[in-house]
Amino acid sequence: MQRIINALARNKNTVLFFLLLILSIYFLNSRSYYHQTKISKIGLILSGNLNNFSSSLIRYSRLRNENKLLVKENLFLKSNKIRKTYRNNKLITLKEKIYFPFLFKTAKIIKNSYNKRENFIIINKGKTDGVKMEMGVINSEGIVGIINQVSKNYSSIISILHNDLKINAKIKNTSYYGFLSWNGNKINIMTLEDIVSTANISIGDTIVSGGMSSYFPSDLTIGKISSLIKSKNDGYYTIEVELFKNPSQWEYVYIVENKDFQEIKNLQRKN
Amino acid sequence: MINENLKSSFQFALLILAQIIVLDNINLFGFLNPIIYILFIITYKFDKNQTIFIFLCFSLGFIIDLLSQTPGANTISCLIVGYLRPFLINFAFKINSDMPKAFINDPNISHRFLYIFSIVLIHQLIYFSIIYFNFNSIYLIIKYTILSSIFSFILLWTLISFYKSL
Repeated sequence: MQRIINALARNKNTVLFFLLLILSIYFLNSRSYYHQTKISKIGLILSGNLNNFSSSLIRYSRLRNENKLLVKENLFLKSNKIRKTYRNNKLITLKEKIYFPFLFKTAKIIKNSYNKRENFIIINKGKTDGVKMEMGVINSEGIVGIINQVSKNYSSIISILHNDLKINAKIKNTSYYGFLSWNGNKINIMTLEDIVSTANISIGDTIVSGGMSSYFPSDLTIGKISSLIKSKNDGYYTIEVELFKNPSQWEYVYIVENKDFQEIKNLQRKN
Repeated sequence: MINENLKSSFQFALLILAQIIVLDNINLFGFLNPIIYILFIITYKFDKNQTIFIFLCFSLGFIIDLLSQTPGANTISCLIVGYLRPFLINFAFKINSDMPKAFINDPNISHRFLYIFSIVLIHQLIYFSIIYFNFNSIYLIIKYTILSSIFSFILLWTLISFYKSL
């Protein structure tokens, strides 16, 4: 401590000079709009690089977890493929073919948002990668949202954590269809509406996508029922659904392209 | 001692007034305004306390900035020149800056020339760099720096000749 004070006392002119220099740069910044924009531009470049660096470090420390998830997902995909080929083989013998109109692309979230009332996500794929508006976006354990803006290299997604988005969903292995929406309270809790109170369901049941919309294929897992209240007035359940993956942890996503989307849309327009 | 300080403060005020009222309105060729207030930095006694000198440079630039409606270029350039002055004295007179009265008594004109011109040049370079603050206008910065330095230098040299003969 004594040494530090001695060093400061010896270099007091230099210290004073830098203090006054900082003060005058502060004055420059606050008194001139031109310099303010220039200085904030320098700040933006610095902080952008710094954030990039720190996020790459954090990502590196998360690799183990990420690997576990990838292995899990690989397993899921492989088992699906095996099951499909098995079924296909059987169907070929029956001279039938299953038509599957969906194509998948991978993408990475570069800006996630989950703490507003209307949340949008930005991913690193855009027009050059074949992304178009109104494609669905999913991840390994649920639905992420629907693409609403596409630029050359990036696209923005309306997250399912958005007031205006309603997703067609159903309870697994039943034919009770409803709409999944977010009421803006907790980030991993969503509400399922339009399930009649005569339905035979219980807490812990899995919710999957319904496949009634042309955005998502059916039977994608979304979450499980965490609370169930039977409403006396209107004969519908009030169901809270807990998502399998917390939206704050989303990182890699898959873009779902429906080859028949335009066809279905044209048909709807004619009605 | 008191007399000297009084003289310094009188000079300080007079130079600021001269700069604001007269020299900022010259606009030679439409853009050149010579600087005179830097005379205070040049002629301030070499053997005085450097800490106080840095403060004085800062306040000089700050007052000029306030009065001439510039954002902060004068403050920063005065402060840097004030901080660098001992090194410039060493560079120009080849002596320790603690030695008093070297400026007045040195018979060698080239030493004095080097000292004044380096201070004016550094001041103007920093001043115009801050005013434009852009790599793309580096040509403009250099042009204005050189023209304004030469013009200011001629003015300062004549003034110092008068000052010495007093």
